[in-house]
Amino acid sequence: MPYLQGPYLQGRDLGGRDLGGRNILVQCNTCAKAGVRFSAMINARELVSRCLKNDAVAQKQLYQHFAPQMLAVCYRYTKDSDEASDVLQEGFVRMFRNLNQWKEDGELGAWIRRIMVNTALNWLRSQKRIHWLNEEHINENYDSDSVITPVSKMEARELADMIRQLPAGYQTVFNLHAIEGYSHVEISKMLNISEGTCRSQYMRARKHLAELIMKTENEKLNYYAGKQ
Amino acid sequence: MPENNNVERLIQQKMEGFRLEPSPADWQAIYEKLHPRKNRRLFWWWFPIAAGLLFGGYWYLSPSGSSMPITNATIADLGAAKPVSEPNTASAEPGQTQVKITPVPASSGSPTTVQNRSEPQLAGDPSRNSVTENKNASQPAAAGSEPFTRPTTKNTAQSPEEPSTKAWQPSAKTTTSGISTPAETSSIKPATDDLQNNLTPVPHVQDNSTETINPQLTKSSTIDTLSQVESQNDSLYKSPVTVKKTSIPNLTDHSAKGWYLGAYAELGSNMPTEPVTMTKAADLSSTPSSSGSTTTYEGSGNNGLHWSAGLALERKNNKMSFSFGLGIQHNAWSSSGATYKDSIVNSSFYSRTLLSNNSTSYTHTALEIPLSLNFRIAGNKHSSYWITTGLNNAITVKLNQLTDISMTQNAGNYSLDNSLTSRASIYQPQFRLGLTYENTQKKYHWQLSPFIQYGLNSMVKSGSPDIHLLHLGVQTRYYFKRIK
Repeated sequence: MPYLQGPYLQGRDLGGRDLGGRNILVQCNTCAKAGVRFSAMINARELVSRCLKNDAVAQKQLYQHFAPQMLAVCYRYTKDSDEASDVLQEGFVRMFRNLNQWKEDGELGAWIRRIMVNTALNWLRSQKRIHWLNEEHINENYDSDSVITPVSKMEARELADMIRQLPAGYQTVFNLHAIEGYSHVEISKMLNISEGTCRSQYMRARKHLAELIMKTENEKLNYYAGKQ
Repeated sequence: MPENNNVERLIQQKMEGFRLEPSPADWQAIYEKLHPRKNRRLFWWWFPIAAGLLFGGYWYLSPSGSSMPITNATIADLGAAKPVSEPNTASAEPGQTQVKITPVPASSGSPTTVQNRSEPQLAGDPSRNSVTENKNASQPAAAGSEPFTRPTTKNTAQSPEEPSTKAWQPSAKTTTSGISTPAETSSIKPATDDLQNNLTPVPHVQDNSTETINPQLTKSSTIDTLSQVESQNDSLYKSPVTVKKTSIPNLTDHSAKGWYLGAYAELGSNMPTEPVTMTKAADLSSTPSSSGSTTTYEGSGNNGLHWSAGLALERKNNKMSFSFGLGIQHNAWSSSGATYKDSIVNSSFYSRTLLSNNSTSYTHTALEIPLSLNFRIAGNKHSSYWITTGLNNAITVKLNQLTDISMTQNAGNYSLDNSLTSRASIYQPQFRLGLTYENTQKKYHWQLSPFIQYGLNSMVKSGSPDIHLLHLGVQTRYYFKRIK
């Protein structure tokens, strides 16, 4: 398996999206502490095979590579950082224990991400924060392009914090549909709700988020106007 | 996500690049879940190994004489001596083991014994040369004694041609009339001049000439007679100063290796491991014949009190400790039972009749010599945890049995008080296993040790039902004195 060049050597994070049987970037903590930038590419299959042998070093390498991205995923589904850490830990433990189910032709990052999402959904169910109301009829209006400009200016963290401000049901459906890319049918099965409820929840979430974005934008404008 | 919807796509793009750095504690938690610590099991073969370690540790820790290196040093060894004109001075003899640098004149008893003694030397004692001293002027010696006067600090009447007098001169300047103390006279001063001045031996005076005695040696200006010096002429010229380079143990430090004296006490519960059962009630192997009957006794042991107390000596270092002691042990337990008459009635019915109830109390008193070996498993200087193994050698002093019997047939009650001492096993080895917590302070250390102990011999000799005692208890030890 040839090592990929270019983006890896430039240190770009690959987000775990194209790691199926290919290479991943592993940072050496010891070298980093010594002030030396060092990274090595390790074949994903080789790393997984070592993880399957319960090799703690390989497990930590895999964790270090995917944890930042997965923590961001967990962060969007939860309400505070401690909850996100809990979900992250539980998700990684599940991942390592079920690593033998990973098909080598699939993308490892995507597979881990699915585990994280499922773990987050289980956690939400255990918390019983979501109370679904059946709403069959909803007018799907995607006319919210007015927020495109503000969104393009926002930082990812700021946007994630806004998503977390949504009510739990809106937050979950929005994450699953708008970011993870699941269809309403899939979401309805995952959450054991009707498709109509899913759609209505999504539309309300979208509307609510647009309002939050506009409100934040207006506050920024007022702030800067006041400064001037 | 709806197609051609730019907002969702934009949000998705931003979220794809969103990263958060997890805390190190997250990986630690994951690691601990993936690699749980395995619980170690105690295996039965641990016991003989512990016994072997017990005796091995005893031999390892048992005192084999003083292993402290003893070296002698003379003045010359210290590199501080000037050539001494007197022969036989400052010669070190191999094997000498003296502790302190001892200026000879002062070493003849406490220097304070010659302090300010102004009474004249006893007359008619020709064997004792006198040194008469007057703070102001020399006094004539008592009759029968050689006149040997020592000048005071102000007395500078010394003949320069006498080398011995010269030798004493520098220290005479520092003479004081204060009371010397052993500590002062034994202080080691490696500085060459002071050492030489302080440690130059007193010359042996054989003539009648007036001689001076180094006042620095005794720091006393009132030596009455020379007899005190004279009486020590031998040691004075052989080894005026010896130094023993030994490490003096700090006897107040209970965290160091050494021997410790302490007391112990323990309290617990006895459980007779064998039920006091003669014959089981429903034992059909002894089923009576159709016409006869049998008498069956059924009983069981009950827990009782166990305590012991005594003194203990402990030898310990950082990793293990061995202790033995002497104490007294008291055990109590009881049994209760009933006697039945079993019979077959009309060739088909099994009949049981209660004849009596009884309750028996046992008391056992013994001397004990506990041996124990502790292995440190965790902890720091002040608090530590040890695995304790031990063999408690109990020597039976008294074993008593008090039985109360109530007869159901005639409603009579009576008691039997029997001494079972003659039937008891005199030697009772008891194996012990425990976990000890030790708290070490500067001047003492104490231990708290929950333990389990099993009597290897039956309490009574063969021919009687075997009664092995199982003790569960807590022992505390308090070591209050370091003795070596």
